[in-house]
Amino acid sequence: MHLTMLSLLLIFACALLAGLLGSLVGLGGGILIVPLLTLAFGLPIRYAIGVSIVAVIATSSGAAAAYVRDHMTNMRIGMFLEMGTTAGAITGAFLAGLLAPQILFIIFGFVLVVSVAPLIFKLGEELPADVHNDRWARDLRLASTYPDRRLGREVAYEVTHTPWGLVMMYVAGMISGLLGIGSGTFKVLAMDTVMRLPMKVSTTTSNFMIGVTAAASAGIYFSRGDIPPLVAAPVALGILGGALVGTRVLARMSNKFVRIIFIPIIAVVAIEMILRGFGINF
Amino acid sequence: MDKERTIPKNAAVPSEQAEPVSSGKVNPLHKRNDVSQTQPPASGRAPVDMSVVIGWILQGGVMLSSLVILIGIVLALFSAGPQHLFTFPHTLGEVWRGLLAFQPVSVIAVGLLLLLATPVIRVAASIIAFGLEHDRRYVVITSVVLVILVMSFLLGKGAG
Repeated sequence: MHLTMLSLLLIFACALLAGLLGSLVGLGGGILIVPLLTLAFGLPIRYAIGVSIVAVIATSSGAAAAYVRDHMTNMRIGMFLEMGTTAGAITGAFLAGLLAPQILFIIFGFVLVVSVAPLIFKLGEELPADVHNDRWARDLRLASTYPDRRLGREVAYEVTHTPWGLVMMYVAGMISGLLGIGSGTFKVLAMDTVMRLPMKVSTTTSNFMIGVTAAASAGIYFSRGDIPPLVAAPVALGILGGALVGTRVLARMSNKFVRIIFIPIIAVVAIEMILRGFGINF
Repeated sequence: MDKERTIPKNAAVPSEQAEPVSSGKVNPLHKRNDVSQTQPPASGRAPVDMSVVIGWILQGGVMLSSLVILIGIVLALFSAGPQHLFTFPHTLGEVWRGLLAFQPVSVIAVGLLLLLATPVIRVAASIIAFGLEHDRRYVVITSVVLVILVMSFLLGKGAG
């Protein structure tokens, strides 16, 4: 496989689109990179995963910078749970090296389906009531406040089921390392439904954690030689550009419209990934 | 597990910013917590505004790495002949040697490494920030995360 100016440009354009779409629905766009590189460009899945994990670091770092300054992120919760996600990411990256490519395609397809669940069902609560700190949360001083713009005041919250949250984060990290995605859905799920954090805190804290989680598996992918620079370069720049434009456009597009485009795309891509895993090509 | 025990006095009252030591009888279970709360109260945040520093690190890292990657791409486009997609440096030594030989792929690899290093530097900066707060527990937690990150690079090499 040789690099031509055209294929480089095409990859860049597609990554731009992925970044744009991803930021519009709040999924980061990393989830589209592996299907794009494997299905459309015929890249072996191990390289696609390596490239994707780089794209994930790029988008999450860019977005996290803004949220951190807005004081929405709970850095203590993030740092504590990152012990779970990074350990999981290493496990996942090693597992990816052991599993057959077909299996990776199939797992990816199913995870893709689960990842769009929050776009269809409303998970978690904006302001959970009756949550009380568990012992871990007290000892680790996880409870905090965040400024809610819509309510126009500081909202205090407490944290529960902390150990279970950590366990779920290990699983989320493993999925991230295995498939080269941010696995934000799984992180938010752990913080929303298990630890019962307010939605805004869990989504921004998840974003904060994604970069560090991805860095843990990216280290393995890089030194294993699974990140081809000539593919990673247009993908990283494209997805960053797309995310940048996406945040500008976001205010002007209706949420519903975006979902109507995005959900069918994901459905088709998920089916294709699973079929590819079973050896059926289009 | 005492997670279900309710502490009505301090249950998520929106205005408990400063966590006042409430009047009258103190729940014995909660007393220990009050002692630990002599440190900064709003636990998500630090008095030294580390969020500004961390935001700056993240943004700076992304900007610097994209610039280096961009330079690498431009060099690759102008260098003669087709380039192999799957022959590239993937150890620090190889990247360095490639850089000295002025290989475009190595320049891109440096950009990618800078991108990979951005979250790692962010974690390292957090250790310092928690240290300044004298929050020993979080210095340990954050150090564990840093060790895992550094280990991942070394482990990958072993997997060859």
